[in-house]
Amino acid sequence: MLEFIADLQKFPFLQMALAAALLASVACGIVGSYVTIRRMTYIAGAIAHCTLGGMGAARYLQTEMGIGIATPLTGAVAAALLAALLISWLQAKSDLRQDTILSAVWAIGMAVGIIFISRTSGYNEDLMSYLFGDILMVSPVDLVLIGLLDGGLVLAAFFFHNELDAIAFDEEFSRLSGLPVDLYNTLFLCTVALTVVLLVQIVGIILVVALLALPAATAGRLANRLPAMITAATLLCVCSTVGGLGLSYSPDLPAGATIILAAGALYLTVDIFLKIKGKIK
Amino acid sequence: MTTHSAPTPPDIVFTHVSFSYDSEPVLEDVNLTVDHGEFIGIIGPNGGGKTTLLRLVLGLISPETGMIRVFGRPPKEVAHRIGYVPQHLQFDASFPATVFDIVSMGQVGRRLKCGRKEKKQAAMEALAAVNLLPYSRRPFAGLSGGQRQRALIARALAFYPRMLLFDEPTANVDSSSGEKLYRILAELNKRMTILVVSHDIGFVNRHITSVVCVNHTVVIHPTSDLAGQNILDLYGQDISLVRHDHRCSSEGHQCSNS
Repeated sequence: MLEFIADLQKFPFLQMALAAALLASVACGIVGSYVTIRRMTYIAGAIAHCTLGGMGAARYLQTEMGIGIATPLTGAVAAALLAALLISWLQAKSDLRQDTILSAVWAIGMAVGIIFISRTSGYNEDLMSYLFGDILMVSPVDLVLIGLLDGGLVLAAFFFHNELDAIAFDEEFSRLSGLPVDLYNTLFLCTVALTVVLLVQIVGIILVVALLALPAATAGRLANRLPAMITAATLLCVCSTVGGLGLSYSPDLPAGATIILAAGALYLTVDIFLKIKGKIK
Repeated sequence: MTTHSAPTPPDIVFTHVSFSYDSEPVLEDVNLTVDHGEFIGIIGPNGGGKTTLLRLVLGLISPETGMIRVFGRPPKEVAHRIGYVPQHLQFDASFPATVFDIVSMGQVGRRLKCGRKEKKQAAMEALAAVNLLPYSRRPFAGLSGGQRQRALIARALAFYPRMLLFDEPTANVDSSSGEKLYRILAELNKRMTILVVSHDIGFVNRHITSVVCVNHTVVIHPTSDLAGQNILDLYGQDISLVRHDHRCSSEGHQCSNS
């Protein structure tokens, strides 16, 4: 950890990684809290895994077909939005169970990605880097994009929190109140999709699910109101990402996996602390 | 249930309404009029169509045939003026919000033409009406079943509705909380029409003006008519009836009101 702090002043790539961790935490705190109270973590998970299909297909089109516009980012955006719209359409119109829909989108999206990656010749990116990402390889463009996302999310949460909270608590009652619930839900899922895409570029598919779910779940144990939950989730996310980054540095552990373990350890610590506190009372 | 001429239209009118789910008829040829200020109990066996009736009034579903008018308008246009109180059990017990937050949610999207101060005032009045004012800053998650049900009533009151609709308000609420609930409803009934759906016919108490029995068709009874034979017709089998005006004492059984 001390080596990390010392090297932080020397190496710009570490500073960028730290900035990415902090910026990603804001997005994770806001979107993660809403996803958690709406019990939609698995929807976010399905969308995240589906981006592999988009990234793989885009990489194939770029290298094999020479289509310049197909970058992993545009591929991931297309796949995530498609997955979000497909999930919301199937949930509204079909009789399928929700977990059937999610499992299908999740697995088929990944399978498409793996087929395309295997068919792409030349320099093939490691599947592991898509799954776990590499926060140490973040580019300045990534930072700008996630900064813009944070700005959008903060504004949306500030102006629409009444509507979002009411729908999260009771969808049917909100519909009767005259709120355009379906529109809000679709926009919400698209927001989740965009958040997932940008975070996948930085931290990888699996870490996105962990960062959306774990800090928010921990925050939910501590906070009684949504604004407090979002703040706590953001701070816990900062602790996990920065802590994980620092802890992984000296022993040269994979940063993404260390961050997930840090988030898990925080949840467990808070849980044990609350249980002991409850017993003492 | 009377047809005397009123200056305003009745709150609810069903004219030859039928509805079916997947070609399975649920309600057939329903005719129903509810005047303003009534306190209606809707009872019937499970699967008889009580919830369907409620959803039709709220405009969540549309009738196949026939016509429904609420406050003289199609239900969808006026649903935002009805206070709907669902069962408290369907809610996430760990939702991060205070009681006041939950009550304020009733005001979102209602096209209320008043400022923030007035809205807060309305939410506080709603909390006072259900005796939950001291709990306004408490987490919703920490309330008992009966208190949660009252918080949901306050949410439905927070926008000055013209009518209240309840779905099984006493389900999983202990009997003293249930009694408290009906006293609150009787008080609210002085200001607005109330419809209560219950599968539990034991709830039919002295506050209710009419009972609507729903089992594919609809039969309306003034509460005084609700005798054993009607219940038998409705449920198709002998069931135990609880009399609310009946007390057991050492001198033997006696009825308090008769």
